[in-house]
Amino acid sequence: MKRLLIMAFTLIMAVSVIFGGCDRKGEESKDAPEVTDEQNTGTSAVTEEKPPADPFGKYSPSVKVKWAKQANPATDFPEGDSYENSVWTRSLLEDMGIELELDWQVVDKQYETKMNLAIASNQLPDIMSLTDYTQFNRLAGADRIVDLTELYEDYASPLLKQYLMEDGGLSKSWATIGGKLMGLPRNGVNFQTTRKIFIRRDWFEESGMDKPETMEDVFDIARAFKNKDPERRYGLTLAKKILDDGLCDMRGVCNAVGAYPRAWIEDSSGNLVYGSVQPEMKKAIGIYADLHEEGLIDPEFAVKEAAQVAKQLTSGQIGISIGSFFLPGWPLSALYKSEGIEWDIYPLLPMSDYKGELKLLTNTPKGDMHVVRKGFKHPEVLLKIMNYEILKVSDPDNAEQEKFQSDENYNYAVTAPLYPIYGPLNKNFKTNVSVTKAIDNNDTSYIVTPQEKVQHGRVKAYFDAVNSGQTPKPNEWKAYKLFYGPDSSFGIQNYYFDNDMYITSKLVGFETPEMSRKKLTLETLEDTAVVAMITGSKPLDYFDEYVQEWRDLGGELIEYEVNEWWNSKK
Amino acid sequence: MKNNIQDKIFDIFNYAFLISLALLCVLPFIHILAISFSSGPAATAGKVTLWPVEFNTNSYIYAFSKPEFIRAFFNSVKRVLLGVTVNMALLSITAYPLSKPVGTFFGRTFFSWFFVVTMLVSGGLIPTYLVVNWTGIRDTIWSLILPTAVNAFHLTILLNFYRQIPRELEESAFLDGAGQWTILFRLYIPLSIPALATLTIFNTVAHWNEWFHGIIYLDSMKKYPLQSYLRNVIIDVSFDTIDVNMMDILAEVTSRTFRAAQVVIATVPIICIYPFLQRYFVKGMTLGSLKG
Repeated sequence: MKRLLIMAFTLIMAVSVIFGGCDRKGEESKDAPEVTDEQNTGTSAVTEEKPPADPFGKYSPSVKVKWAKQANPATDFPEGDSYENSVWTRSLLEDMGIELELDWQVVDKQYETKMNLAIASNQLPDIMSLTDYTQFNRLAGADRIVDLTELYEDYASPLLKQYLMEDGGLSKSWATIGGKLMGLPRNGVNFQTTRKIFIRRDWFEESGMDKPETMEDVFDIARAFKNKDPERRYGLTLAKKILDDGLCDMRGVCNAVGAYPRAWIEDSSGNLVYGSVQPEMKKAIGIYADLHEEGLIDPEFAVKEAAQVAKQLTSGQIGISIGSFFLPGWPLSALYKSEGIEWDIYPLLPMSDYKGELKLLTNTPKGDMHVVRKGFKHPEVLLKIMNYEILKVSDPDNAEQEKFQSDENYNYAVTAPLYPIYGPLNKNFKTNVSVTKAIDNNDTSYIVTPQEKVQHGRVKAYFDAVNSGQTPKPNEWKAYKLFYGPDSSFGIQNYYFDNDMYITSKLVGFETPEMSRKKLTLETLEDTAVVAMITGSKPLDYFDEYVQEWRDLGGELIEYEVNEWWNSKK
Repeated sequence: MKNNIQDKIFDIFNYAFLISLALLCVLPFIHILAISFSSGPAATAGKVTLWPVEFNTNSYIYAFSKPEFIRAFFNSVKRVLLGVTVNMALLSITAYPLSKPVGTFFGRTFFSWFFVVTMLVSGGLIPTYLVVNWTGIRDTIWSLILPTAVNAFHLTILLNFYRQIPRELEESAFLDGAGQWTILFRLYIPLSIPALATLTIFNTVAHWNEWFHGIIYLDSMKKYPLQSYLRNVIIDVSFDTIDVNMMDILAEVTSRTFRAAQVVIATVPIICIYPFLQRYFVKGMTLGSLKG
């Protein structure tokens, strides 16, 4: 009996080892013909007469293109439409002869898993977006995606080239591996995610306090809010993703003392250092530890999701949030809709004893890419689709925003095959300037781009409603809070921009070997250590111990690797 | 015995403990139920706890008018009917030979381990996906059914249940001229109703609640079963890549009442099945597992 068991086990293990080996072999041999296939088409393209590159040329007969979509769960379609059959797929077929065939679609967070499975089973769609820089790096290294260097020169429309280079070639440099352009970057630097201070107006007026000038003033206001009414439970928002949650993290206060958590920043000697383990960080944690002791932040913050904290804002439990630009859109517009509550937005303020320059940390771009599968016969399709999307959404002369961007009921831009659609890098910033000028001078000649038209219309409707004594719609209020005047979300962004107050992690979308191994461990260590020090379960002096632990667990090696890369780049 | 004061104290604590445990399970559901019958603004503002505020049924009307939801619902029904049938058919005929003594069925131990091994180690996500892919069932409903067709744990339960059916019954049937198939269908299966009912519940619940396979094996959301579909509706949105377009959508996502209504509708069928099969349930579990 026992012997039989052992035999059965050994047999099964042997079989699984054999099959395991087969898997890999099978994959390799499957890869091989594909490469030769590509070489064939490559050489034939050279020997044949090369047709002149036309960025907007229509294919005749039409070309079938398989693609994959990272779907958004909340997307609403007009009757009968879907990702397979949308205004984009129909127009691309009609105008460009591109027949999009949706290979698969999956919702946001499962996309990476599904893409990994597609890679492992060698079933890549013809064009796809990669949401993970490591995937991109690996596919480029394994020669499974197309080198776009020449195609980009030939097929990218002037606007595409202009928009892509607006950040000085930064995002393009992430897409370039070994001197070859292997993809189109999906997002550039997201300047608008820097923090601002949102204060509830009715409570502020009631408190009779002066406008804040330092971070301490903000805390005083929070204190006054809380002491006024027991219904108001806390002073400030904070959620469990304490270092990088756009709604309610501690990044604003960190920046106010010169700390830049989760970012690689150049120090005075020109080396890159990791923001979360710098001495400034200890100060920021100390501030929050004091706030926690005083009861100004929710003691249960470490288990609160952003959505729950949003509820604390909308249900009148908290009156101050130091968050990202989108707060007026969500969740504050819900409160405006139900109770007409107004909010004031202030630029981030420094702590009174902070001597350095106030700099605001942007989100670290993830390095997402649009790429083309190697072996696909018409790799230029990727560029043509992007050209077309830009033409229809961002081109000042040709855009049809109502049809392709959004109308009153539906948002079409998010259903585009390559999303997000490129536009001027700081189009929201510029929209703020032109909308403000147009409203102040009552002169629509400032309104040029498609987005400006839409937002200007809403802001104007807002003022019309206010002037005639009616309540503006939430949508109009939102546009007003985002785009009108220097005190709007983007007005403040412009203030940051004009005063050169941005700082971005120098390390984008790139992972050193040790980082891919240890990143998760180290970030968990960071989170738990910071939470422990804020809640007081560890004293603030634990910080030094935590930094040492971070270094020992691989941080030191990562720092070395990062600087090696940084110096080689210089 | 009842007069014993210690027993009474124990009972009080025991009941208090059990009631609080039951409340822990039931309250979240009542909360969702209350939200689903409340008005949108009240729900967003967090005013709803256990009783609906501004009672209305709008979100249910909306849910039933949404074709995606209805389609996903029927996909799930189809999956459960098909999946449970396949599960139960394969389980009952697989457990039968394995319940025989080694002398009757040569290699029984090997085949038992063949199944038991899957309880101890699994192939992992990618190899399983490759198998599903190569067998050509990806993106069909069979990809949700065949990979989980025989559950080794369920097999063990049924096998042990079969084993404790007296051998004399089988022998006398054999003497009366019954073949193996007749013995299985006329003797074993009717005698194992408690175990089979229990396993039916297990499998129904498993098929109804499973969402991950739908997401990885199916390519089109039209084919999604209800839980995969709900998963998409309910998950939170990441703020990392948010832009002005996405923000428009975020405002719509917060229709909490609608999401709650969908969760309630998804839970109701499973709740309805329990009372019918429950009387077999306890019996089946203990008989199958303890007497083996």
